[in-house]
Amino acid sequence: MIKLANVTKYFKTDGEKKYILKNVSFTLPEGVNLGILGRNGAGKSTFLRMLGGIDFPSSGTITSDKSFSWPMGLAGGFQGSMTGRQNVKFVCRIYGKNEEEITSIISYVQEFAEIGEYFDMPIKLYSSGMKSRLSFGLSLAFEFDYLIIDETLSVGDENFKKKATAALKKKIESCNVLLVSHSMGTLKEICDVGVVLHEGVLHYFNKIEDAIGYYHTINMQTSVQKNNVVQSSAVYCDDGRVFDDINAAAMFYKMRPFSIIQALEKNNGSHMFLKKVFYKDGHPKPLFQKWQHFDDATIIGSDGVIFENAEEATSFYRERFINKKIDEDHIANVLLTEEKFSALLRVKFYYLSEFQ
Amino acid sequence: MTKRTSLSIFSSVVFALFLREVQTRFGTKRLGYFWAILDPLSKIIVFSLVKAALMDRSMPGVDYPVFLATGFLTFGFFQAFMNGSMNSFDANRALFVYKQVKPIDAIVSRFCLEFLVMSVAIMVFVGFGMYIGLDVLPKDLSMVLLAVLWLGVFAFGVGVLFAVLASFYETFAKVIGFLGTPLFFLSGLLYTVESLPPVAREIVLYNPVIHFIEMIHGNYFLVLDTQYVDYQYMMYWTIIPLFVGLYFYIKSEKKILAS
Repeated sequence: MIKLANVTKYFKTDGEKKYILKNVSFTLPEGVNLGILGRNGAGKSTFLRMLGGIDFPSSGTITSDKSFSWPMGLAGGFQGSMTGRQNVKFVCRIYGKNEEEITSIISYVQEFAEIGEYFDMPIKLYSSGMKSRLSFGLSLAFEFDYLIIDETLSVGDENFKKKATAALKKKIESCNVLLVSHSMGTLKEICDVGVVLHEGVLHYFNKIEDAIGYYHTINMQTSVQKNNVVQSSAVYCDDGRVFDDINAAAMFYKMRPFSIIQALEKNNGSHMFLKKVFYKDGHPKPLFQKWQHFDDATIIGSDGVIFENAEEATSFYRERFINKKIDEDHIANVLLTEEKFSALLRVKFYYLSEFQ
Repeated sequence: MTKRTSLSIFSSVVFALFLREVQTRFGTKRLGYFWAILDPLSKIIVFSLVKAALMDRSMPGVDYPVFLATGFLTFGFFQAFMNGSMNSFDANRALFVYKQVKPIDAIVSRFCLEFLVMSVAIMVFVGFGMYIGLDVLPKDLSMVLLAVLWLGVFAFGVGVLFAVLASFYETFAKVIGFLGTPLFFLSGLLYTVESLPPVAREIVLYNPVIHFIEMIHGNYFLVLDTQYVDYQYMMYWTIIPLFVGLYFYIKSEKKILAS
């Protein structure tokens, strides 16, 4: 149980107080996994840190008799000139572990992180993926009542992500989670209850689905309020992000603006990888549809555009890049090569079935 | 997880931070050990040569290199800890994600490290001095030890106070940094208070550090004495910064953690 009593938290920026929480009283029931939602800058991370006892309210109290982890997956607590092993030992010592426990924790982390001989090299030589592996393993090696996770589930490569999610799921059988994430999928998968932070108010929901729904609602409202008039160029996305225009969205998702335009034009289900749906405000808002109709011939380009088959892809690119002189079998031929890379389009193609 | 007492948490965190500082300072750069000796040694050689070159024959009956060594080693500790304590919050900020780690732990561990470095350096110098036949044994060992320990407490109090102030006023650390060099020359490291003209004497005696150095020198060398050491003044400078520093620290610990 975590109890917030009359909690107010603000930051001063340019002499102006920016409130994250304004006189909030709230009790988190025992034994639930909490998802924390809010727009960028709403103070999700600060709220999480306050729950975990490493940040403090400006006034009011937060009380709990539970133990909390450090924000998980955080590589900030590592000393670059020390080796992975030394860093793990350091955290063990902070937690007052004896030699025997330290040995078992080290072997667990070493096995989990799968970084081989890098474990005995200075951390500054690690890639960011290796750092997250190490820190993820380290967090899992300790026993806490609550795990604190700040958008860290998306670190590392696909293989590791699977392993990390599986390990985390096993871990939360014996403890609870406080999670901040932008990924609605992760939130649904892991959390039972949710809070939405919005303009200093904390909205609590018994079901994470309701929290996500409310979050979407405020997302729309805020954007409309901000612009006062409906801005027809604004692009909405089903993961809750809003962009000023197509170019901003394209930049964010590292896609070509064409891909976004294409998704907008289709308006019902998208050609986007990651199954995102975009629409302009003012248009009828279509329901989210997953990309379901694919078979063995469905391909995806590294630019994020999905095609039912090579012919469709070829005609798409021929239409868009008239001066590139793409021949009719171009993509079919590319798919026959080993790299499946089209030097002409600078796009790599995959069969979508490879990702399932 | 079993509950630990705050004392056991404090000691295990300080110990962990201490080992971490040892590893980072001495682990990767093997020169680290060497440097702790080389830095005072080079200063001793330079100032001894300068004195010889000036044909300065003051302080008869005192081995000037030993005189310099006693001052440089203890003053070096004081200065290193002052600078270390002021950046210890920032240097360890990343570790504040671990709930057990409090800012004061960083100061305490740094204090332990600097004190240990000084102790080891003193032992090395005494051993080396005896080997080459210098008169390195103190006149009154217990008083010298008392002076060094007292200097430690004094440094700790001032260090805590400065660290808290530096965390709120960025320029404060810079001002203290500027004071470092004048302090080196005003702390009686190269001369005794007695050898100064009376007017200068009065001025330098406002500097608390010179009292500690004089106390060490006076009890170390047969021919020197401690007539200018003002124990009461030293006590003020020990107790007031310590308590004011700790009071400010307790008041602002959460602010330091959150900032």
